[in-house]
Amino acid sequence: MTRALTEETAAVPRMQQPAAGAAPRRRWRALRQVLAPVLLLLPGAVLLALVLVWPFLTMLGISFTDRYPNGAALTLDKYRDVLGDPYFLRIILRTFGLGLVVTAITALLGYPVAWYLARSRSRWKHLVFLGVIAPLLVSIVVRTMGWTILLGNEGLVNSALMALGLTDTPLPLMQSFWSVVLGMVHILLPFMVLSIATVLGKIDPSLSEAAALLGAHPVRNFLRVTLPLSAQGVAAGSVVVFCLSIGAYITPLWLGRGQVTVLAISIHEQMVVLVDWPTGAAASMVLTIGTFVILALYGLAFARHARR
Amino acid sequence: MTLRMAEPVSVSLDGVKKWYGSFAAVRDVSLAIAPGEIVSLLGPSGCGKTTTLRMIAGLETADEGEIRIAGQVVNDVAPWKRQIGMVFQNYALFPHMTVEENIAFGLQMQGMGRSGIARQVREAMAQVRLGGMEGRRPSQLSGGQRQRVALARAIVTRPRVLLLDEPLAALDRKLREQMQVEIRALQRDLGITTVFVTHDQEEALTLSDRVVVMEAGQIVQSGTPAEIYERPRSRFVSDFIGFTNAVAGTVEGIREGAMQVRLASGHVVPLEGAEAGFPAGHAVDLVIRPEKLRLSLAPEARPGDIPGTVRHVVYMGAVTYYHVEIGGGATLIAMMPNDADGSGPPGQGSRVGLSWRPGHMLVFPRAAAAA
Ligand SMILES: Nc1ncnc2c1ncn2[C@@H]1O[C@H](COP(=O)(O)OP(=O)(O)OP(=O)(O)O)[C@@H](O)[C@H]1O
Ligand SMILES: [Mg+2]
Repeated sequence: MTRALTEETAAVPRMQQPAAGAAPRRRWRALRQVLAPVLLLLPGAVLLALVLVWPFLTMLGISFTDRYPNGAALTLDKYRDVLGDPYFLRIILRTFGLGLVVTAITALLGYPVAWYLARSRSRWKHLVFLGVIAPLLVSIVVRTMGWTILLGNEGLVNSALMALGLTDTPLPLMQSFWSVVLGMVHILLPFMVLSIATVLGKIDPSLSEAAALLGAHPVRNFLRVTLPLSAQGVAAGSVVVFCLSIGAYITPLWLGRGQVTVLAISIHEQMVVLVDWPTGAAASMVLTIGTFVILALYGLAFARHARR
Repeated sequence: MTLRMAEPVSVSLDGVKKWYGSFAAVRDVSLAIAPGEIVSLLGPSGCGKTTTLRMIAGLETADEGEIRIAGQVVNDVAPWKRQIGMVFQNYALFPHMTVEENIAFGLQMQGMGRSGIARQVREAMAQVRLGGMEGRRPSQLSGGQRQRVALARAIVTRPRVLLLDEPLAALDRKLREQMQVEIRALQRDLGITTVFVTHDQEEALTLSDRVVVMEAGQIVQSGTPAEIYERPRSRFVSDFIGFTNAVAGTVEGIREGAMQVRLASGHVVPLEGAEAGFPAGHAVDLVIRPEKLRLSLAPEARPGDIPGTVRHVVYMGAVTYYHVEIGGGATLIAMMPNDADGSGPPGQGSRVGLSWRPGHMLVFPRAAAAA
């Protein structure tokens, strides 16, 4: 299709008679300028509309009904339920809190690893790279399973602690917010490392050499040159990690052992267990719109930073 | 001139070596640069020019030997403490900073106050004629403008040594010549010791007090531009510095104080003042620059001349090159100014005689590769 398109676009202007002149050619060029992006974006846009916008609109509709199916009135009741209920509010805060904490920790842990991958000339580099992406090859379910084996009551950590006589009863290592953070960081770290390393790898090493010769001590050199230039990678990684972590389901469920309820778990509960679609839909909307708001704020802050 | 340097300093390298794995990128370079001198490192690609420069800057550590700045050994001094200004081959301007911020960076690192920085930046920008570009990003500048920003950024901190790594390579000829003049003027005004890397021999000759020719990680000759040009010490240097003619010959022996060399064409050429004497039978190359060959239209009239036939005439504006075949498969190219002295230039096919002043024809042992 693209081939046919380019041939056509190449052929048409040549067929224009000189007498017919510049006007049609100009019109064609203008048309092409409009057409090209439309054609390039079309397949993606269609797919997006089908798998994203359509379900979103459906859910949006459901969230304003009192019952589903066969809902009668349009109402804001369900939103009042979700946002007015301290239980739900705590879940919302916990979810976004989890997202922010996981994002911050992956960024802090991931940056040095990404730096190593981007700059090192060591031959161990490829092994480290493999180590970073290997978790991506294993399903999240399996990796979370691994953590439950490690942290469970009969798990490796507790057995070791008891064998060493440090504790008599197994410690509740799982059921906490931080055990979920631990699992999420482990699962999402590769995304952060890869997006930072990609940007770091593109930074010309002579820039920090130039800064050094201008008198910049390594710390200032990093803060003034490398960090600002790699900020885009951190931003991209943060967006990915944040979105994945606030939407996570399996890891909070298993590592939290029901004690760390996040929105995804709650939505699942509402819709599947309690079969209360409108409340579940309203909670989904809160999650989605909350994500958009946070990403928009982030984008704004970043745009201002980049303009400076 | 407002940007004045502290006392110029000397730079010296003493037996400096650098290996990359088992490959010696720089093998035994010794070089003493006087305070305020501008030296160019010249040589073919991969001969170790950049590596040498980077070792002076401290961006690369010397595996052996000592590097001194102002008499002090700096081998273990970190780059940010060396007070060196460097213009990188690709300029290495900070893309996230404006022109002004780029130039101010070094001053900020020195902890200078805001007003001082503003004044110095303004002066440096005026010096490289960049006024009005303050707010632009490097990506919004032309190649020549970027080069000026890089230069301004390197000199504004008043470094003790200025290192330039082929800073003009990316510029077109006209801009390059203009920048050469500017760099030279600036360097002289500031009196700053400068090392300039290039593989353009013309640039080396016009820009430097001293030219250092390198080959495969070693210095093969070092001297004033005139010395390097007039008295190259090897075939390599003579080939590298400017365009040369070379004809193969065999030493016949010494007669009347001159070495007699038989050319492939059968002519026997006496070489007065040839420094190195070679035993009879030795294969040599005779090398001469086109502008040192004299062309006469009546070969029979002048007994010492080598007769030949003009095969090509290449008109170049100010000068014309004449390709003269002298027999035995050898061709010498003579360059003559087009000053229209009335005799009329020899045309294609005309018989001419070639001659030269004693000492202008250089003799080098025939290198296996050059044979
Ligand atoms: N980091 C490195 N690792 C291995 N070899 C290197 C490295 N840097 C340079 N070299 C080698 O060292 C030699 C000298 O390199 P250098 O960059 O000094 O050459 P140069 O004279 O500046 O050449 P050019 O004119 O092409 O810039 C080259 O053969 C190069 O391949
Ligand atoms: Mg180089």
